[in-house]
Amino acid sequence: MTQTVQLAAASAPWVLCDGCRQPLYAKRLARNLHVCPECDRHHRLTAAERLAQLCDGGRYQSLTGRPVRPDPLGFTDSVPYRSRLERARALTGLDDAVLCARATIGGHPVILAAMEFAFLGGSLGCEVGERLTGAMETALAERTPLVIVTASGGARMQEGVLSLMQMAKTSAGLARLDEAGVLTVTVVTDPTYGGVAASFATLTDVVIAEPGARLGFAGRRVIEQTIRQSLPAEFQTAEFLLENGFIDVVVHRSRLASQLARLLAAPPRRSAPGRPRRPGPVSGVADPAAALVRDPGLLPEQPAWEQVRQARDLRRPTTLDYLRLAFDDFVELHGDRVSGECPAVVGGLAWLAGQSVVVIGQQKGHTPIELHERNFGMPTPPGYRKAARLMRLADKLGLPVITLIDTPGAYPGAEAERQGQAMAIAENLKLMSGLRVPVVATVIGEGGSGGALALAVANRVLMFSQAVYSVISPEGCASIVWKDPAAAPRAAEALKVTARDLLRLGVVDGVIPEPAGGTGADPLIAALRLRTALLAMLHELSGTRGAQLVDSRRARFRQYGAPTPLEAELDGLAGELDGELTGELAADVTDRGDGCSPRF
Amino acid sequence: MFTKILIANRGEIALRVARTAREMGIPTVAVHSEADRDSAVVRLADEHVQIGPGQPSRSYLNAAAIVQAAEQTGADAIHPGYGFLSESADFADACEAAGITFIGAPADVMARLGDKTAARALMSSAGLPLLPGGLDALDPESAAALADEIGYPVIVKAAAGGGGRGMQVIRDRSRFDEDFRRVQGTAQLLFGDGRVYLEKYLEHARHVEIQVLCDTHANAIHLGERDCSVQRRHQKLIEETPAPALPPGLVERMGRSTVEGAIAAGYVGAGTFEFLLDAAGRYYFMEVNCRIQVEHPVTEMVTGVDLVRQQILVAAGQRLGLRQQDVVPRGAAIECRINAENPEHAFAPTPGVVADFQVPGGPFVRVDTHVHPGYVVPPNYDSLLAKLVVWAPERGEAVERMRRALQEFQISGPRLRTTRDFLLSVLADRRFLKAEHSTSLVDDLLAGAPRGLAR
Repeated sequence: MTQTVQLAAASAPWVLCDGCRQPLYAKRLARNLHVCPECDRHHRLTAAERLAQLCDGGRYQSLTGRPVRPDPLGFTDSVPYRSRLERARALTGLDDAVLCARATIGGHPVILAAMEFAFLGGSLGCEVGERLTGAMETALAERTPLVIVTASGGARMQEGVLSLMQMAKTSAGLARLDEAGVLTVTVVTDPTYGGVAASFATLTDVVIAEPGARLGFAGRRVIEQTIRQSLPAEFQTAEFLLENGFIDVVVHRSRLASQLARLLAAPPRRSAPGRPRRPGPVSGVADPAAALVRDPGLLPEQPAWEQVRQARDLRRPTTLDYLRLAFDDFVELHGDRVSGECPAVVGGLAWLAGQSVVVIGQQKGHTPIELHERNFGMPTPPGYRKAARLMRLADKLGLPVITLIDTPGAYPGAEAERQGQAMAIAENLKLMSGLRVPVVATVIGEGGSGGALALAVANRVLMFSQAVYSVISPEGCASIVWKDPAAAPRAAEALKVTARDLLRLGVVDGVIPEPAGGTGADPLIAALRLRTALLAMLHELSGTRGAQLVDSRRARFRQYGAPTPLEAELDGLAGELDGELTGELAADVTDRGDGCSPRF
Repeated sequence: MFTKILIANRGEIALRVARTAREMGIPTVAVHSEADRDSAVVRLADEHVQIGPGQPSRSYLNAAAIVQAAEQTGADAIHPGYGFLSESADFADACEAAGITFIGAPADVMARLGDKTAARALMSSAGLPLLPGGLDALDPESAAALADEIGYPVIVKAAAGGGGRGMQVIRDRSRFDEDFRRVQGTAQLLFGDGRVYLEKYLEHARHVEIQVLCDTHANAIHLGERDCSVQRRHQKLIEETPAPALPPGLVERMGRSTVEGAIAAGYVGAGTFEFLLDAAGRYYFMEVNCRIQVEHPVTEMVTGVDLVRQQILVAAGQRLGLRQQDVVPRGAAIECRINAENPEHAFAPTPGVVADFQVPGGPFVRVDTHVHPGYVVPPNYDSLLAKLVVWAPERGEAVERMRRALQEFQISGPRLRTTRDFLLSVLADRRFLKAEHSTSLVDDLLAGAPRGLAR
């Protein structure tokens, strides 16, 4: 059932790599999935080769549809369009520029569509649009994930405005899959341009690109000729797009099938189409009481300042360390799809004892270089928008959201302001309050103000016993309230930032005890305890429906500051900081240029 | 017989092949990189072709250029030496497609034996014992079950590890769960890949290999063993034959099962089967090297068989002229590898000029080298300067002779450091002298472990 088109070049013993101009032994190139073993150039594949590479055992079942009327406009340029079509059909062995099939990847059922660049440049005409939409409708009817491999120059000129309409048609098809909670993935291959880039190629839940693949609306030549701008070599490549936040991940062809298999394992299994989504019960949960402290009296009293220093210890495991140690697998997804990629926030799909979840956290580092690369764990607006995008994905697929909080605060820089830092944080607070899936937040180190809360509007909030969570850094508070940064230890005490305080205030629901010497002294034990605590929380929340999760989460945050038995304590806290915090803080923020203590 | 042999290699092995070809009356073509244009083999060979710049990927690994050079010079056979393309199934295949004889194992055999898992399965079914354990990634439960099955001690290794990192010996069940998770976690942190596998741990392992020779008419013999236990992270430094202090009859048994394995694999040419030996004299198959080995001269010294000559005869389709009973090893041979490396800096290569280079001589001393005074050790290639091989009726005398020859070997250059003195320290080690050493000898010596304390 696999049809392969024998091109003349395929039988030649040696081929010349168009990347490095090295002669390559053709059999070796083919065995290497048509990736140059010398320069790693990903050579173009036919649609059939692509499907054979991705599908289990190289086998797939073609989806057939009724062909549409060819040449709707009766178009003729130097050659009649009909003869062009015939030539393309003879060359490729396909009816048009896409091959749709049903298959499994890593055992997961999938509807696959692979575009054929050799067929009139993979252009999007009526037939291609119809077949792609048909594949989407099959995916919708069967609640099966959809994977589209793109390769196209754009809309097909010879079918005029009807080609243009295929962009809207396919986009609407993906909107329906979003509403139905069906996972959609694109694999961008070289080249993907114009109307295809500006429709279905970039609208899916996860956009993967092959190394070096180019994607854009206007091609390089168009840009250079129309506005006379010279462009850098890497312009519009996968790596460029990743850096600018437009694609999730660049995946080498040798790992593409396994990466897709991991993604396809993400959607929770459903009992029947259309049933409300909720995560299944979590098995293998140890006694959560052993993992979590819920009574503040059981936590040792220690100086708050000491705890602040502990929480900032560079040896402490970071979000990525926990993703490696406490979770079974993790697929990182990048970019906010709008304005950039923030290295201070990491997120993606992860697996915890067989359950798929979305994990998001601020990322610090252990060395000065790592810290610098991660902006010291201080997110920029693209970081919060990436988090928002991933939370929407979790909501769509019905996956619990787990956040790991470790930040001095949101990044206090001019560029962050220009990009709308305040709005990005605010948007997350509202978005999180309305997620229809369980949300569990854990403060693993520093919970710095609004920059932390933007990931922490959760059904359950946990923290490690030496972590801290505060409205402002003690140094910042000290310099505002006492006009003396040296008063930081006093400020730390007054702000009530420790696990013991926060448990008493009801801001956290449980505390994870740290191994002797802190989480940094034994990352493996810390990770194991986090894992147990998370499993226990997910288990607690697993029976709850989406609407209830939203209600209880909103109620949880509604109570803070409302008249409660805790009122007295909260009063005491507020009294110490009264007035000064509101008035002088604002003035100070605008005065101080160095911004060493980000807040809000 | 071949009308012309192209030598697709450089350094001492290219010279070694050219010499035998000359003795057999077969003209040779040397291919060389820009960096090697004045090399010894270029001068010795009948013709030479420059195939690319110094960078190996553009010259000695450039299969297309080498096949092209063979076609243009009319060479009808290619000897690949060791390293570079010698174990590339694709290169063998490309030679065959171009109508040129590849002097080595057939492409499909090489492809199969080059795949570690496939080779292990094949050899196991041919009756060769494997080290208990497996190369498959394991979860904690199945790993614990496997450890119980094969018995402690076991070693847990990170799939992505190497060079001693990401592995741990576990000696009993009570430590297993925690230690296993620790290796997994460490692997995850170090390499970003938490896959681990588990094997039986050998307390006192020796590396012993068997040389085989097979023709295209399903005849196969072995030429005895070589002990290569003096090695550092799989880089051999000293090789000898016979392997000292083995239980009687062991080599014969290993040899017989190796020949069966070679026949089962459809092997053709000269090849080496590598084994690990434990203290109790049990042996475990590791892998097959489908090429002439660097250390082949020690076998030649005790058997009197020119292995390169045999490779050429077999590749030309001739039947083996030797039967198993014709192979009667005599005496003991040792090889030392003189490398341009600094043992004090983790054997880092020291490229540069070799100002003084005087090879030892005297009875039963053989030096295979391409180096001459004024030679520049290029940075692009391996750092082997010379192989010093000696023969004597007994091991003790051979060690004495090697010591004398090493001391006689004059090599120096402004920035040059060599392994010569380190080799001398190995030869003086009591464990080595009493043949009580294992593959950990070099690391022990480097770690400054008290010398001569037999364990």
